[in-house]
Amino acid sequence: MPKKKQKILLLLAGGTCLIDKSGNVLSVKEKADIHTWLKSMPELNILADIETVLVNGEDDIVGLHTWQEIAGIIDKNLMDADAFVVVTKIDQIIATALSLNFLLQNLQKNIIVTGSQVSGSNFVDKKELISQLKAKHGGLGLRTNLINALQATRQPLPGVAIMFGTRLIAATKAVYRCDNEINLLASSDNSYWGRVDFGVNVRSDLTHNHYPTAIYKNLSNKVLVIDDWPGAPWLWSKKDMANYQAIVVKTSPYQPLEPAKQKQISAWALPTVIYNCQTVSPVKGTVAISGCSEETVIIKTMWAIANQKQLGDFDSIMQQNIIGEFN
Amino acid sequence: MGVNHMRLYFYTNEFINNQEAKEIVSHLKRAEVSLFSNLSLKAEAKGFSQDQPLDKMDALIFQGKKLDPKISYLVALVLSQSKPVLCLIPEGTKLDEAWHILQSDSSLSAKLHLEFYNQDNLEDKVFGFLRSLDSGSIKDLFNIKYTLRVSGKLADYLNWKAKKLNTKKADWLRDQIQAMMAQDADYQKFLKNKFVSKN
Repeated sequence: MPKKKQKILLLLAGGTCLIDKSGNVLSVKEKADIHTWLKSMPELNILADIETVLVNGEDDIVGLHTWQEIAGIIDKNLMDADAFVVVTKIDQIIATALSLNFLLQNLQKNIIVTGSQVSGSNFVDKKELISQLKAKHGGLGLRTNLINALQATRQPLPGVAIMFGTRLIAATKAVYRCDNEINLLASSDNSYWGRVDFGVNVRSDLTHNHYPTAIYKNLSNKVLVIDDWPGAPWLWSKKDMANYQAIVVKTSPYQPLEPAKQKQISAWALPTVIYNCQTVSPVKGTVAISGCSEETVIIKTMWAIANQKQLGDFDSIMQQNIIGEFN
Repeated sequence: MGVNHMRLYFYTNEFINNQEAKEIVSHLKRAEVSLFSNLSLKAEAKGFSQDQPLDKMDALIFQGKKLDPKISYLVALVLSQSKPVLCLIPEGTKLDEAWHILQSDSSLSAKLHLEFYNQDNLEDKVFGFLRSLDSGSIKDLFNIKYTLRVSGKLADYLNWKAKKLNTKKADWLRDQIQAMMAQDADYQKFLKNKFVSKN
């Protein structure tokens, strides 16, 4: 008995650039563009029944509000769609996937984020890259990424995934690493949920998480991210800090934060995360995090601060393995 | 690899007593194309385990009655790359709705070859498709790289000739080969019979 076609909700938030059959670059800047854009990929129709929602135009800024809106739309459509595919700009793919993973935890439906290799409808600065991709790969990767993403939605995944090039990557593991012309993203530990060869081969041991579903609406944009350079002073006053709810400090792995900076953190009295991917020296009054990606720490802080009333102790939440970020 | 540079992926979703699939594979092997198939997993794993191996195929051949998610995916992917797909459907089979969807789009229908077959014409259908590939635009693309070692004398001649004709050495060599090929009666005869069925 053949499986029925899946009903997919396709959410567009930038990253929609593709080359049509006549060689023109198409993207979705406004709702009116969707019809022509979808029509240029008629092959998608045999894979799924697709309903499309425009969240952001190609030239709009993708950020916190976009991620909250996408999460809200997915939440509203949980019962109606079999799975969700989000298209967004390549430079925002990881943050988008992580935001959705923290906002929509343990769903029993798949969310896959993908996009084109090129973003933005001004092509003057990207002319050369577009010509190269067109000549070598016949397009900007979106068609293939979308087809692969639609296929990957058929098997249960434990969290939000990114489909790009030949790789299906857990959002929590994704890092920007250009291994070749089509794989611009990689898994930090080289373990993948799936790979593309003569099909999308998703690992057979994966299942949806069986923990209770938890849906959150908000992320906080009041997180200050400091990329610390030893010897370079921090010139913010306590007054400057009044605008923030939390701080993430990216530090070097093998030397502690300078005493003056430790004093500043103490005086600011804000929830503070000290982060380094490999290892981090603890600082009194802060939570030290390592062993996960930088994007994960930032998005997790944005989520934990915005939902602090519901979640409780900030330090404890930051150290918990919420979406598999420490796996 | 066969004498033919064509790389084909053959997929069937009928695995029990599928004599026709065996015949198709046999015809394709006889045509000396480089064949990959879901019937022989070893071949899949051998040369193309990474980097989107389907990208490296020139065409897809499907044989079966029903579209399942896997073949829908393969057809969608190959068509999205503007490469041809031959679908061999047993005579008397009711066509899936999806085929109609694809056929209704002019850009896809040109690449999608839907063929109903019976025992008597299966070979013709396969070879007909191979002929269409062989005469298609992909075969005219200068996309195969050769490293050619020549003597100093030949190099001098190539340089002199290219300069005299104000052309590139590679272009001149290509033109020479094209002219030789067109005038080679034996080769033209070989081409004529290359994909002719035994029947």
